[in-house]
Amino acid sequence: MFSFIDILKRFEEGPYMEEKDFDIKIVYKNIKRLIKEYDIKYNPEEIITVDNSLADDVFKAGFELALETGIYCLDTKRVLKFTEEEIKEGLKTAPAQIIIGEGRDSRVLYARKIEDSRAPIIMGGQAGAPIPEEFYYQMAISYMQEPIIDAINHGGLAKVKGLEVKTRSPAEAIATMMELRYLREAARASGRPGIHLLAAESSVTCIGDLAAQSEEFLRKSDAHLIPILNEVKTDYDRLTKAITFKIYGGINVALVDPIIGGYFGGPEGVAIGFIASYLMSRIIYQADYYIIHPIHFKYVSTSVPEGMWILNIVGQAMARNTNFILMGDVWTSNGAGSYEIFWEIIANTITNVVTGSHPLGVSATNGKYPHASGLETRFMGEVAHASTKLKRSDANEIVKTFLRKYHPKRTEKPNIGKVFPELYDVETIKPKEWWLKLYEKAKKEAIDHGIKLE
Amino acid sequence: MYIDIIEKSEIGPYMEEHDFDKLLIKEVKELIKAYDINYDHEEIIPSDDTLANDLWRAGYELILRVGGYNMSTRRRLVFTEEEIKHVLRNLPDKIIIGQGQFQKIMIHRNIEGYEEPIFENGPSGTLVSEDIYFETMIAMAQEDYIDAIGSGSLTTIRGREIKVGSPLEVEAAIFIALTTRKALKMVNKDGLHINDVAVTTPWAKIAAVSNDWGIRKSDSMLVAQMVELKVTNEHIALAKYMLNHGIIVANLMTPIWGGYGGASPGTAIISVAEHILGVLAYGALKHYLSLTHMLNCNNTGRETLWVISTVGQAIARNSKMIALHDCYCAAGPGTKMLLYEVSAGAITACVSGLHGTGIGSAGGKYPDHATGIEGRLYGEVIKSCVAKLKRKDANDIVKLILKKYEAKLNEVKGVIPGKSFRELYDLRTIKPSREWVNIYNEVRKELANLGLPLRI
Repeated sequence: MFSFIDILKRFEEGPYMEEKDFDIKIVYKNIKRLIKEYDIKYNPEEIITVDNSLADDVFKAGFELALETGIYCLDTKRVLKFTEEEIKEGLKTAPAQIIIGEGRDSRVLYARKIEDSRAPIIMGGQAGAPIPEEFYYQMAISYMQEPIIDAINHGGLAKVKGLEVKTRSPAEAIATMMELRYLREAARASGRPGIHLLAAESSVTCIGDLAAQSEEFLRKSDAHLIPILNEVKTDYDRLTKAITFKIYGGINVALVDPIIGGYFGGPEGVAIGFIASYLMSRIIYQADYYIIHPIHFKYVSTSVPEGMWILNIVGQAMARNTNFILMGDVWTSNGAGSYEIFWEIIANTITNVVTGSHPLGVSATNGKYPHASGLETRFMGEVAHASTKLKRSDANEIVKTFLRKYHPKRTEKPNIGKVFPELYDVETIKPKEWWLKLYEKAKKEAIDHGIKLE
Repeated sequence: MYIDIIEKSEIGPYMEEHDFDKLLIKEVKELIKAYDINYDHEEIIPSDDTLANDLWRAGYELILRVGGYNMSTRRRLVFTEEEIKHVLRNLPDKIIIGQGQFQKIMIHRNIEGYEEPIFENGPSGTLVSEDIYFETMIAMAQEDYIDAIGSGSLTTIRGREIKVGSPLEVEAAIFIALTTRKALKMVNKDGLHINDVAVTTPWAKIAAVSNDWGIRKSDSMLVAQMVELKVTNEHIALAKYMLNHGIIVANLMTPIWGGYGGASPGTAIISVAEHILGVLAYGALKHYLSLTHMLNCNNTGRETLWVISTVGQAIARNSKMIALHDCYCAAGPGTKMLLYEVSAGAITACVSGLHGTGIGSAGGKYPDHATGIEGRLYGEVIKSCVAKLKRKDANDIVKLILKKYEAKLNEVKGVIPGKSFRELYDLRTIKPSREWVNIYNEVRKELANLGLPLRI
């Protein structure tokens, strides 16, 4: 395995290249070639495919892409290229299971297989959303008090005591420490002091992550996100995050969130790009687990057909060919408080769980507004557990049925629902009666469609 | 859904304790009939899945009909079906115990499951003298086949008798935790899971929590239910404290065979109900079935092994709970009979979906009558049987082993003290005497000849 010193040296010594050339001459060109060579085709009728050879071809194409392109460093303008042996070494050393959290709240996070009957780990929270400080604590409790939720990935603070958190300002340090303080207090108040946190979301740069590396804030049993920049790029900031947190003893999580319609092209190219990004993030970030988050250029949400097809094929490709632990995002266009959100959750969650990833969400309104709560994540958890009884072909039919209910009508014009204090009584932190009734109704509808909710 | 057990303890129906006991006896009798739960002395380890399912339903219904009883507020704890289902559904099916290289994943086991059971070794329920506490714990910790360690109670602290409820219990809790941790360090096993500090008063256990020298988040402590299906505010408070510190709550059940449940069927129904109550009242993730025969103070007789097996199977088939057989034997150390009892218990637990813990030698009645050897055998047997025995084979072997001690058990109607740790170990080297090791080796050979998959 590479040391971080080796990686930094290679980023200084690799071939020099302008970013634009890397994007067009290397990434775009190779992706186009590989899609054709491996005959990768997106099929909206098979959101969840049963074709194992397609999954294997996507993996092979992704492996080749990693070999051909390498990864670009924005600061040095140089490309780090890997040999086949080096990538294989990363595959060999990837942990198939890790222990997250502490004490009675610890869990075994493991690499899921296709149609895996084991209970998935449920990671709850409105990941990626800016959450107002005034109800951050109560909102966090709304997730942590749900016993079905095993781990937390909640949003960050965009403002602290009225101060806007600007990128690369010291406010990032303050905001991240505050975020962790609220999360820790919420965990304690919920009787789950050791629950695993995937956190430090208030900071874009490494400032917040550095400030939070302590037992008081982000513990060694916790994790933080390190993005692969779009597409197949990194910078010194992300590398600092990875290096310091690994030396501290914590858990690194690679966030891969390419844009459908970007330099990777359509769903086929994005799927290939995902594989390459994972293989390389294992080496440069020493990542322990990985997020699948395809971003649709128009709808953003992961619950649209292209997004779910990517979740499906990347999940299956990785499950069949590696031991990597994947968390599949559940990002919905509709907000909590709407009925439509439940349809999106059903389709998106089933896709993730049946094809080899654990579900992470629900990031309602695509993380734009704090229109989210613990209740719809409870629903996500229940659907996830029921999904372990589904085969891919049956799951595909259910997913398409629900997809038709919300797409494109409610992804074009989503029902953004309501803000957290309108969904929950913020004193008792209990869901309001009307919101609970919508949830019960959605459960009934899911059961009527053959989803075996307990 | 959050179950407020404190609120339930305050607003539940008021009832005198003996009225609760009467209600329990009546309902158990009805449920035995309704679910047709029958004991068959030839099927100590039944292979009948419907029996396991019926027993689960009966225990579940007992919780719905009777609930639990809070002795502090004299109120019955009433639960709705929705609450019970919700809590059981959301239990994790695996937990992580211990630290570093001694960290283990403890899972919900299945009947005849292929997953290796955890074995927790210690002088269960036995008083240990202050002057040899450290040596006793080393004797337990140094054994192979163990995944965790449990402590015994302490007779005195600096020579003073430890009375229940006395502040000396705080000192005892600290002494036990400190000494157990020291013993683990001594045998290079710091990081091994500690399952309890054995003091009676719940709040005294809180004093033992320390990441440096005592109970860590990777450890657990027992929170007891009183006989039968009873809790107190003090026990609830201890459980709350542990939940808030991220320490695994272990539900200790001591149902009495021959008590309110009567014989095996009723005792089994109560035992299942006590597992469920442990989750509802304490938020427990580990469950210790410390069944006690009213005369022999053990759970290795024919009737009690049937309870262990059927309850284990009921839990394994119908829930995600992580359950352990807490092995109590009538015979004491230095006897062949203790080792026969231990083996029968371990085989039964292994194929019935349970993990193991113990050993309560001589029913835990005689101070210092606990050694590492009986745990060595339990650990070896429970792990050796995995994937090698089906319930039917296990039943045949257990019946053969029972032949070796059942008559004696019926004859003594009590416990057989055996010898003390001082008599069976060299206290300087902490090695078992040649005599005790020879007995152990003889029994191992006998067990192998009976078809037990031990490596001789």
